Amino acid sequence: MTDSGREAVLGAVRQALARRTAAVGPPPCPPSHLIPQRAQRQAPELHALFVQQAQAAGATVVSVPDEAALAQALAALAAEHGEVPVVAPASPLAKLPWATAPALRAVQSGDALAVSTAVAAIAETGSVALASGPENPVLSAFLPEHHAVVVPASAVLGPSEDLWALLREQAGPEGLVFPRTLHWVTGPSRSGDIEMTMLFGAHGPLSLTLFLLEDG
Amino acid sequence: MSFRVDSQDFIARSSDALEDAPLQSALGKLRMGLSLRRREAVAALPEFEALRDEAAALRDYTLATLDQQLEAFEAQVRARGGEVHWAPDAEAARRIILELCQRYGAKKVLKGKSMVTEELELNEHLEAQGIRCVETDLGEYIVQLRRERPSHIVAPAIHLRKEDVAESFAEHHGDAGGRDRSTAEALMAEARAELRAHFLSADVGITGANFAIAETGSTVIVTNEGNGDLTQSLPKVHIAVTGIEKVVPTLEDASTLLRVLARSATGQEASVYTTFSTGPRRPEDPDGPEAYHVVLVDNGRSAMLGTEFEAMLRCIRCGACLNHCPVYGQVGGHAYGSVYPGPMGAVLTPQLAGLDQTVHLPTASTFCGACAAVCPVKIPLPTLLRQWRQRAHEAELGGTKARWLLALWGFFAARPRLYHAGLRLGTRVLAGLAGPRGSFRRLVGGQAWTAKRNFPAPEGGSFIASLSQETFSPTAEDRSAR
Repeated sequence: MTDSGREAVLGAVRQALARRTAAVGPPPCPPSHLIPQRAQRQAPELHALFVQQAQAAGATVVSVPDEAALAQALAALAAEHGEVPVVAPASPLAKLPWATAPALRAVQSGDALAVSTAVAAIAETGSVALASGPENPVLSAFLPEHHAVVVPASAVLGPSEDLWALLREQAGPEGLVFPRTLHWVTGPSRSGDIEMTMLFGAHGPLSLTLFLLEDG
Repeated sequence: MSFRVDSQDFIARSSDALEDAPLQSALGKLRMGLSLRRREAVAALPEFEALRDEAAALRDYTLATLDQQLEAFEAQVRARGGEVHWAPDAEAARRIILELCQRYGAKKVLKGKSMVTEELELNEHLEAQGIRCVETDLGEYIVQLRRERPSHIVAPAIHLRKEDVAESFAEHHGDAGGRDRSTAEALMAEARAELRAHFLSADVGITGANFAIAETGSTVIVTNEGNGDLTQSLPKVHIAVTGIEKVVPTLEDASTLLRVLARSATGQEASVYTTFSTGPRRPEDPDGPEAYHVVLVDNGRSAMLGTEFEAMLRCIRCGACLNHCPVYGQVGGHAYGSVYPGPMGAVLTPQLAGLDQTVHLPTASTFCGACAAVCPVKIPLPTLLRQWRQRAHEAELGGTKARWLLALWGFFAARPRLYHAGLRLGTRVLAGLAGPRGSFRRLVGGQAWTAKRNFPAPEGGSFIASLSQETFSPTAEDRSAR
């Protein structure tokens, strides 16, 4: 059944494309990719742009000088809600110098704060890019009431095209192996579906805090 | 091809909509909201116009190589352990999705917002087979509770006031503890709590796809709420349903289109969640679906390739043409009787459902051009609407009165002397009859106009007369320049 559907769809497309070629000639060349000037900056302007854009999208951005300060800030953020942060057991964050131990387990619905790590930040839009895997469960970004993301300061890129270049650089001999799920997160969850009033915390987290970790 | 429309009564429903005060108040917010936000976002990006050109060229290139892109996409999905299913029409798509749900023993299905599944009437079909469907986008959830169809492709509940939402929630969620339903905040918090229980107990998650990337075999969803991600991450099966035209060749192409999509749709620089999904959960993954399926739906799309309507396949469903259309802004989405309303719907619906069922839709335009001016992929919507009007005329589908008036106009237009003499005479007669007020409160044959507002009388010469004066009497500077 599926195969006959495949032949039917592809057959119809090919027939139509033959008609198209007869009418307007061969396909045009693929366009070049214009990258806005705004995204073509170097650090430290790039960092300033990232902070500005992330804040405009409703995120809170906090710079932390080292891992000890990061652990302290994460614990303090969770403590605002009377809890400890939830960190995936395989996350590199599990090895931070925690003063109080975080909850090293999978996130559950209703948890106050879960923490993710970003492979990169996209300064153009103020987004953080999360690649799924044991170190970074997808649900950490969606199930908790509040979400924190740790971004190494060296991972702030200009446009999303630089992220694709980075992933291609990391590709193995069999080519690019894309993460199972890649998320760009730009500010906290929101909806404008009731009378166009934009409100935070639709289904995902009510707030997003980004920790920019200066590289030691 | 099957596509349910209810567009025969467009004119009657439009008239009702104009008298519907709550609807008019809701639509007023759309006009002031989304188009204003889009304008600000566009003004903040100097390259926006150049990006529109790139986006249009990119969509054209993809369409011209669609078979290769689809095959490349399929190969990549398979290489990552996913399955691709091809649906020539709506019936095939419904059958494929039902069989998948049955294969996994699904009793409850979560839905992310997807216009293609609206087109397929998937919920009705699955529910008839005893499978519960829960829409999870806030707007979609609200219209589902009310057993309505979405009235906007991006903002499904744009036609409702918060009082309407409160009423529906009271009916469906019960009134335990006398819940506060007076604010949008309270209503959203209530929906969040209700839906969270569904998220944690569903068997299959169905989403649409804004793009399908041939290079990686990824489907992309762009959302603000996070419902789409919960929908596709919590259940053990993810089914992404999308039109065959949504494929793009590379990741960079997706970057280009995403730049124009969010700005055009909601005036955001980027939507909150842009999610690239590639295959099922991998052995080391702690979460994500165990099975990943993509259903590629044709349902009349391939028939548009290589025709005068091909440019419509560039559409990335941002909704900007709806937000800027003076007709949509007055009558709302339900008047169109199609899941695709507004200018894009008035072009697409006749193609999907047949012109005889939808002949009024291409007339629902003043040809003001706002839709084409804001379209991120530069679809010449007024031109395409005009082509449908022409086809309707050739097939004698329009009303007899309109045909008679067009024939009359045609008679004069083919005789320029008579036309201009008649125009001069008519202008003078109308101006004389109107008197010093300069407008008519009532006009024979023009009641539809004068019922709402006065009809302005002509003020002196015609447009053509003033144009010919300009052409033939150059100004002093023009003369000296020569």
